[in-house]
Amino acid sequence: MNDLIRVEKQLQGEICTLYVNGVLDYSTMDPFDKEIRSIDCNIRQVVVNFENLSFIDSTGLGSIVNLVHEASDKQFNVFLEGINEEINDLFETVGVYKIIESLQEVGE
Amino acid sequence: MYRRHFSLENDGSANDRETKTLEREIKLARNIQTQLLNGHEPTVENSSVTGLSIPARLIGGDYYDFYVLPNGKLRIIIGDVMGKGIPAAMLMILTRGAFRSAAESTKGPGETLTAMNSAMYEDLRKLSSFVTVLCADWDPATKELTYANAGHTLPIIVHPENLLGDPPKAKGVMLGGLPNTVYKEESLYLKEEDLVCFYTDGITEAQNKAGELYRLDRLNDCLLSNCNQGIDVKDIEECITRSISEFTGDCAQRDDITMVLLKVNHDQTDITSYNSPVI
Repeated sequence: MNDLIRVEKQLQGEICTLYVNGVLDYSTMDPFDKEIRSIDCNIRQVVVNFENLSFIDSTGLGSIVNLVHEASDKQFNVFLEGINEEINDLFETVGVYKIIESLQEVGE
Repeated sequence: MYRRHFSLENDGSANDRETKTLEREIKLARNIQTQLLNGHEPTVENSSVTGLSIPARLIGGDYYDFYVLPNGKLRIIIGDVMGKGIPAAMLMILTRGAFRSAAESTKGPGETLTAMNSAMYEDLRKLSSFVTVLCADWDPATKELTYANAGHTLPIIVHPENLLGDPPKAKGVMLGGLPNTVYKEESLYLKEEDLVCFYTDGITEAQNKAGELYRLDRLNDCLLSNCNQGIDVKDIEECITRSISEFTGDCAQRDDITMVLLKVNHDQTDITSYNSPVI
């Protein structure tokens, strides 16, 4: 149990939404990674909601990148929502959006 | 035989010995990393360059390096491996090897990053990791700085008139993000006394006791207020580390802190000798 992060999962048919609350970093990534690993083959779309994300470091970014690669392998789509300006700039700088765009294009 | 030996030895003293061995090995690993990171700073015509990396733990995942090219240019790289501590340090060594071998055989920073990504992509994906790096070629003869970016923050340019420059945006995916990535180059011309500060997010995300971040604004202010004419890059480096240290106070360092500073000196080439008419 980690007090710094809470990941809530909501399933609605083929859509799985993960609400990330708190800090996604080196010390808290396990609950998020666990949810990614548990995504089953019936899911066609994973939405990650960052509205209540207060901080993300490079390890947290690594978890997002892994989710995108997992999505490409298991053939589901990833949508990121509720991103504030600061996190948006970070995703833009490291190339998260380009990876999503490129891998989901290949998948389609 | 081994099992029996192990069970007999598996008491408190054996644990102490194992801990001491581990501590010794970590110290040796730190020495290796320090030696490899803090190599000699190259001497470049009409410019000064310096680099510094302070790991948050015993060893870290930040990286910078210099490579003097046969044509007189200096290739600079700065990077940040995902994660912290020993795993990041191991990947930092992998990154250094990829840079050193790519720098030798590629024409520019874009090609260097493309070659590094090709060499490292499979390993990084297997390890669910990535590295952000910015690679730049400094040509002291033409004063052109050409760079390519794999997911890293752009450098800060400070002009002597106390103005911040606006380097053309070079965007590229982190190393290990996508296979077969081609990295585009951007370039700009520097003037005498211009300063370029390459840095990692350990600086801008340094935190104080109140939970505030150091942020880019403070780094910019520190550079602007200390980048006086004729000041040495080592002195600027010291001003930045002091400013971060004053800001963070007793708060433990959370991330590796790394910077590379490049300053254009006054042109000291005696051009009159080249222009003298042959009598």
